[in-house]
Amino acid sequence: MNSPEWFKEKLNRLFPTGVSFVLALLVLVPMAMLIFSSFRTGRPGMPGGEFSLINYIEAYSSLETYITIARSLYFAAAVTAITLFLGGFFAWLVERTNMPGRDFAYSSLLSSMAIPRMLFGIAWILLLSPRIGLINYFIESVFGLPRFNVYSMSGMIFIQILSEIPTAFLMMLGTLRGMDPALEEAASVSRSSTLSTLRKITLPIMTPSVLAAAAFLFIINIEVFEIPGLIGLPAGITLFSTAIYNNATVLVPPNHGLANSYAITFLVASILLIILYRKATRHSERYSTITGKGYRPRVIDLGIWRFFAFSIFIIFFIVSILLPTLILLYASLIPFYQVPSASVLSKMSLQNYSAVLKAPWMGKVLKNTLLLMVVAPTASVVLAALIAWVVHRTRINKKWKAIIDILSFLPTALPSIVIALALLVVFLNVHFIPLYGTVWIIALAFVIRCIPYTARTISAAVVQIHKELEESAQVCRATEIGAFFKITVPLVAPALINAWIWVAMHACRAVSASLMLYSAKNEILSTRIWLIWRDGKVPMVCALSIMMIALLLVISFVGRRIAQAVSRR
Amino acid sequence: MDNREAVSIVRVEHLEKKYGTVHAVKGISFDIKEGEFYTLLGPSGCGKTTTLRCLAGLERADGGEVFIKDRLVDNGRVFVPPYQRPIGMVFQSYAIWPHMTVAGNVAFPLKNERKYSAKEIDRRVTEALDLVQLTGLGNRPAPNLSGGQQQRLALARALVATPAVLLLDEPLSNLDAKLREEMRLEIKNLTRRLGITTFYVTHDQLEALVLSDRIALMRDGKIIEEGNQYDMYMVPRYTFTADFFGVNNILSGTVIQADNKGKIAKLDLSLDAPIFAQIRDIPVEPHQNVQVAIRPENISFENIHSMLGAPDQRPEEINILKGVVKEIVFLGDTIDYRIAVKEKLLRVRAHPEMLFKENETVTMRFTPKHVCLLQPL
Repeated sequence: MNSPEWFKEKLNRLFPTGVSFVLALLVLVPMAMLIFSSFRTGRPGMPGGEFSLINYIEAYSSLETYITIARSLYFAAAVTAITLFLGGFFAWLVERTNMPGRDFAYSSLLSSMAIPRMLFGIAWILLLSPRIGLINYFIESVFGLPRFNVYSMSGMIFIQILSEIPTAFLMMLGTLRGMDPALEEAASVSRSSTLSTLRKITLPIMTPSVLAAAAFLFIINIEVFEIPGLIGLPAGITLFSTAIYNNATVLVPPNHGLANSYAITFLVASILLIILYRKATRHSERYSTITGKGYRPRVIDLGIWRFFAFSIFIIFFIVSILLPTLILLYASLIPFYQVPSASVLSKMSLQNYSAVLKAPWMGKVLKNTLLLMVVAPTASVVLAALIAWVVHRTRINKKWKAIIDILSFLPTALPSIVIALALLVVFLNVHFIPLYGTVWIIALAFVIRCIPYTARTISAAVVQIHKELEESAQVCRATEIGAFFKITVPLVAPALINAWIWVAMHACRAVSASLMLYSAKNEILSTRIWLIWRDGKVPMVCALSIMMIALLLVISFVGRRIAQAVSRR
Repeated sequence: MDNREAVSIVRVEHLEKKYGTVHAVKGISFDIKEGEFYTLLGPSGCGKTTTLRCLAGLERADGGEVFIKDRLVDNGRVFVPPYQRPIGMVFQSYAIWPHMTVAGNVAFPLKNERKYSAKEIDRRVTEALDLVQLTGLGNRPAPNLSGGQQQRLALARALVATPAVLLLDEPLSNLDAKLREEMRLEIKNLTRRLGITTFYVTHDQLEALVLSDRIALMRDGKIIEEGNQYDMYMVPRYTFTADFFGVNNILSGTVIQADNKGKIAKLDLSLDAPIFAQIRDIPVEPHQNVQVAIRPENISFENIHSMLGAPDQRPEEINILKGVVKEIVFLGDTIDYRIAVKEKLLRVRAHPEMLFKENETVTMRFTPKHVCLLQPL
């Protein structure tokens, strides 16, 4: 029976186990190593060191730790509350009212997401910095008001809110769209006024998904690194994420033990949040929302207020898209950053761009960035497709399915910075896999970080494909894996491409993991921008930023075209 | 057909299948001969589709054995995956792959076998498409076909690799009534013409009657009764069978007299007269409780003319009942009457010219042959 057929059959049976194993390896091993080494003294990968609670004692006997925790919670809570409110309000305006220019509002919210958070932060520092901020200059010279210091908690909160509104908007929009208008209509024909319908019907039905959105946003805001790193670190306001970064990489010598114990606390907190999130969404089908009857809900007439409402979006467009892009563009064209004047404008040139392109590190940075943007999304999408196949298409039992489900959701609770720290610990210890300091370790961090997203979207697409399509392929002499790859994969290709683009963009723009795992060898565009920003070379940073935005726009445009072409086929 | 002579293509012995606590198939056995059209019929959830999926290898049996062409394909330990079984299958949803052309769908099984040249594949695809009257549509994208055409395509794909047995899982349930009737005949003609062994699963008794050589009626994971379509309809053995096929009057009562040699029993069914029923292979005893089935179409009305012209018949040869018309349902080709006889309502199917008024008293007659003695189940 040792025929190729026999081998094929064995492979078919081993595959689900193999996929689950890889998933467990990716998610659990770094976490286990992190926990393990948080109980050890000495540097990871170095001889010596013993088990002790010293890291925790050091961390939690210091007042600074509690201040950091309180600060992080305050920051995340404030940002979450305000973005949720504004995002919900914007979503309601776009979805349920007769405000003019709703399409413009929608697309400006969406396109503001194209600017990476790090560049958004840089742009706003250029606008609001007490020393060089353009807006501050005008506030003082034109209005005679005191300068606003962006290097403060409120500055951090303000910029983080601006950068998170689109996410909150999209989540609330989904909630609003998912709601069956018939539920509200039934209330209004049951003698309920608009306001009491809102209070007694709309809000209670929306509660679970709003809670879920809140938990999700809170996790984003507590793990965010870019804004606290750009603003908080120079100002001496450390949050959890920047404290880990500081201890693990900035300090000489690094205090890995302390960073680890911080990370574990961080981890426990976000796992608690995830449990809350899961609780909030678990019964979402009970509030069964999508009915397929495409009635557009009743549009609320805002009267004269609708023009006021629209002006909010004009302001949003200026503040979130126009000003940041213009300031980056402006600064990229001048020899050094200063207030615009006739003499400055006359000195505008592409000098910075050519300097950047001729820089000795440029070749390496571009090569690494492109490598990362190909490897990370490809690995991530293949893994997610295999997970979807194992969960939805093989006969593994329910317990296994639940375990895979939890494993693929768990990285939601793993901030990039924690994943990066964990990988650092792993590959400082495991020398026989020489990933330390390479671009592959960064790719690995993104693959792990993106599992929840890719697994969920691809699973959702796979579920849409009727199982009989695959079964009929099996009856037509195709193996189980063969059937999946010949039938289902081509059919879910648009979803695969979209997930691929998402991971590629994410890997290009997010800076925290790449910075944690930084070495001279694995420099990429985002880490290079961060480093020369730290060195104060503003015009060069801006030239690189504009190039990065252009790269992202090209990828998303081309990718979307390909996805459309594939789905139209 | 002489079953002992024919070669067995599919043999299922004591097949068991459980899903968690649900016992879907409870040890059923059957045997399909070469060229036979065998139908598993039953209400939804009876385990018929599970049985078919076990034959296809899409499910693994929890017990029992499945043989295809005398090769053991599943006994819980040995398991031959679907792609190594000589089967063709048509799915309820057709499962036409939307990203391929019509020809691409049909060629798929041949390409997977990797033993045909491109030319041979082309020839076979054309042949299969001709067979189901989709000639010339090979280059179309598969989703551009109509419902009926998709059905034909699914058939072509199932047949193209010349399987030993064709499996059909409720293939007509997604079609509208008219198309269903058309496809029913076409499946019948096609399978007869090719002489292919066919295993068909349906919940529609009419489909089963039209198509099958043999029908097995299933309930709760067990086969209740098996037989050719005529016997299953006309002389069912069990109450469940009598009830499942078409409309039937099922009445309970007791035996008054039984003549097991003369094959006639006199029954008390709480109607206005004793009813005579023919005894078949299972003898009955006096005072025994029985159930009988009388088909509405086997009861005829006597009008005055036929009463006058009727020859004298002994009561053992004809049952005559009087009743009152309670409900009249005009169906076009027939009229469905509900006639009250004492406490009971009898359904009678009559020619549309047999018009009575509500509350009119009528006389009905039916022969003892048409009173079918049932066993409870």
